[in-house]
Amino acid sequence: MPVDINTVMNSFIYAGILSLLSLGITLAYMTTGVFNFAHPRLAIIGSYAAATVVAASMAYLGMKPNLETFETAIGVVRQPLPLSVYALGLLASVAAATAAALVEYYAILRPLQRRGADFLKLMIATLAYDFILVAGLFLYSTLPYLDSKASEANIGISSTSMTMTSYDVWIWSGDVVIRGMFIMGVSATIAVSVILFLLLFKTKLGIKMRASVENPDLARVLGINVDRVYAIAWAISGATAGVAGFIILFGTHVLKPISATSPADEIVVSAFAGSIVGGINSVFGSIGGGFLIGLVEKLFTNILVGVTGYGNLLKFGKVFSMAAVVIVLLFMPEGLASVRWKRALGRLLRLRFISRGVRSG
Amino acid sequence: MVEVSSLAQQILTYIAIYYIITTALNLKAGVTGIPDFGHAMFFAIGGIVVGNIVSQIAAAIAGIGASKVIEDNTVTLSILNREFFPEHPLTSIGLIVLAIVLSLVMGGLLGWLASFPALRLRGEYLAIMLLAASEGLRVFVTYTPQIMGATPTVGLSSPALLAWTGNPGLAATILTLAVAVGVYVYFERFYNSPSGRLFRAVRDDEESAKALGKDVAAVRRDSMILGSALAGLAGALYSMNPWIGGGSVAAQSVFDRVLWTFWPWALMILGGMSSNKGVGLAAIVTGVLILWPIRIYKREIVEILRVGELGFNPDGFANALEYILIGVLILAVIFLRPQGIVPAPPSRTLSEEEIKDVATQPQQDAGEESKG
Repeated sequence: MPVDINTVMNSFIYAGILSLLSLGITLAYMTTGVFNFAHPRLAIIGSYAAATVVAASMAYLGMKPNLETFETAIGVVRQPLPLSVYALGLLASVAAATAAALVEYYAILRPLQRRGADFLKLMIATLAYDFILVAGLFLYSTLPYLDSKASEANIGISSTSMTMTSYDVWIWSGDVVIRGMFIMGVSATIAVSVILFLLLFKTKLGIKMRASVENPDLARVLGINVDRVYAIAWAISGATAGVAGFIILFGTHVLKPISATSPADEIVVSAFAGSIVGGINSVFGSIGGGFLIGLVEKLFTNILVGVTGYGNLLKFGKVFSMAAVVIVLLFMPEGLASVRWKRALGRLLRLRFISRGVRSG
Repeated sequence: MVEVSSLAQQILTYIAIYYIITTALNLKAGVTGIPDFGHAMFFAIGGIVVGNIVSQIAAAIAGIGASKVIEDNTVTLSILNREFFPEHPLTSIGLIVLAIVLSLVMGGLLGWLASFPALRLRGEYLAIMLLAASEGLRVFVTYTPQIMGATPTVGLSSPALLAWTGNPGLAATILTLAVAVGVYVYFERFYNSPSGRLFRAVRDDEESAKALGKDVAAVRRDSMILGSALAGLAGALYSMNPWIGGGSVAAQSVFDRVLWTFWPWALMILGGMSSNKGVGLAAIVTGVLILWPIRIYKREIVEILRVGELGFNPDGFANALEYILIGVLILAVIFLRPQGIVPAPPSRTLSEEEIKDVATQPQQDAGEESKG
């Protein structure tokens, strides 16, 4: 086998993050027709919120991370923090990202749409919001106050990136080390998909939501509060970004927006790529697209290195994933979801429900 | 406090470079309607031309050996910059001309390549495809030592092509400004020319342009080529400039999508899409109203706001302030004046006498014009 299990797991963590982000981008686009350039930044806001809350609660409880291990049925587990602290972090992350998304929707996008701004203006407006968020995060991350409060968490001014990977849960099961964030990354994506499926197809809200996407005017006539439905979609979009932010914090690392001139957040483009490759009008396509991009970028590259033995290729991961985007779009100009998987995959295709105008023609 | 004269030159250069690159984007996105979110890659081509190709040619002329430029960049370039360029004004001028021509040609070539998807894909898909292409190219160039040197963050030292003037900073500022003025004059004429009107017709209604027998695909291709060539030129000017280029060309800075894709987009929206005057004004406004006061009065602003007491890093605060101000400015413009500072003017038509002249000469140019 050309790659080790660790690499596979890291790839899946990354792919999980990407598909959550792609999902959020797609949801926001489908409902309001806005390409949210600030979306990946919402996840980073979540990361900072989670880091702050985790660090603060540890400081409050006067606690050090517990690096001892204990035996369970599945293997030896090392869980550095109590579960409640993780839960608090996740909650903070989701809350912060949701709040930021709702602010964006209510304060910027909805008023602009009322004024009849077009697609490009809205896109630039999200970009402007992103600039403000970058600056805000940058200022926040330079506060020395945080550094002393959260020295363990390494948010502070002295470092260029922030991570809590050392607080991740590790499970030694036989020879294999399973990382908590791997489980979380994969299961969160699945859970979000299932919840969204149930929400969209089994609840009244889902029907309202699909109706508002298909034909907003008709939905309004039928007494659906379309604005509120859109707001809910944006809240979901923000919440999934928050989950992604939590996984980013514990599973990988956040590049701090060091100087305001170069916030080198590599993940932005990949998330958009995932969303567009999946087909921008398909919720479940975006999850697949995110996984495709993430796995090509990490797993495929690592396999390629393993096969060819040419280690330098590792740096070129993004070239492959971007090439994948170009190839997919050249052959399927409307993304993966536009392909008639229906015949090939039979019932599975029911998952690809929301697609504005594709089925109705 | 930064020295005022050098700062003035920096701001002027900033305005000129941003005017050129935003005009290039304006041609593609504002005038023809191609949502190019990969604009930075065309800009980067100019940087590669100056940092790599021109340096290699200079080294070959100086007799050092072209391959040394990549193998031993810092040493080779410091020898060239100290001993060769100041002594050879004519060669330097020739190299500048070469850099400008090459960046135009190579930018145009890449634009031509990028025009193939531009003909196939629509709207958002095209935007993300170009963004992805730019990002892929950035990573490829960054980690290919033969193109951008071994250390991505450092890059290649840029050749001091203007060292012979004795004051390279000022000379670079004047050169950049002169090119910007040239671009401005050209586009003032272009937007009002028949082909400029055709470009806008394609944006406004592709079908009716087709119905009138116009080759829509050719228009989009030409727009990509011309706009990308111009972006390459901006990149070359930027890399030659010791004020803002910082004496080196690094993949990280020339491929920066925030600086060279998103800011031009922001400036274009700010000034007014497909408005030449508006884009120029937007560059001036952001340069004079935001960068100028913040960079000069950094310390004073930070003191007045008492951010130090809150625990912020004063330098970082000033940097972040630039971002916040530009974000707020863009939002304010989109909210209050969605058509931009200077909305695109209607095309100038010929004066009455000229129309009469044309009318009296039977059908002479009509055949020419309909080909676009």
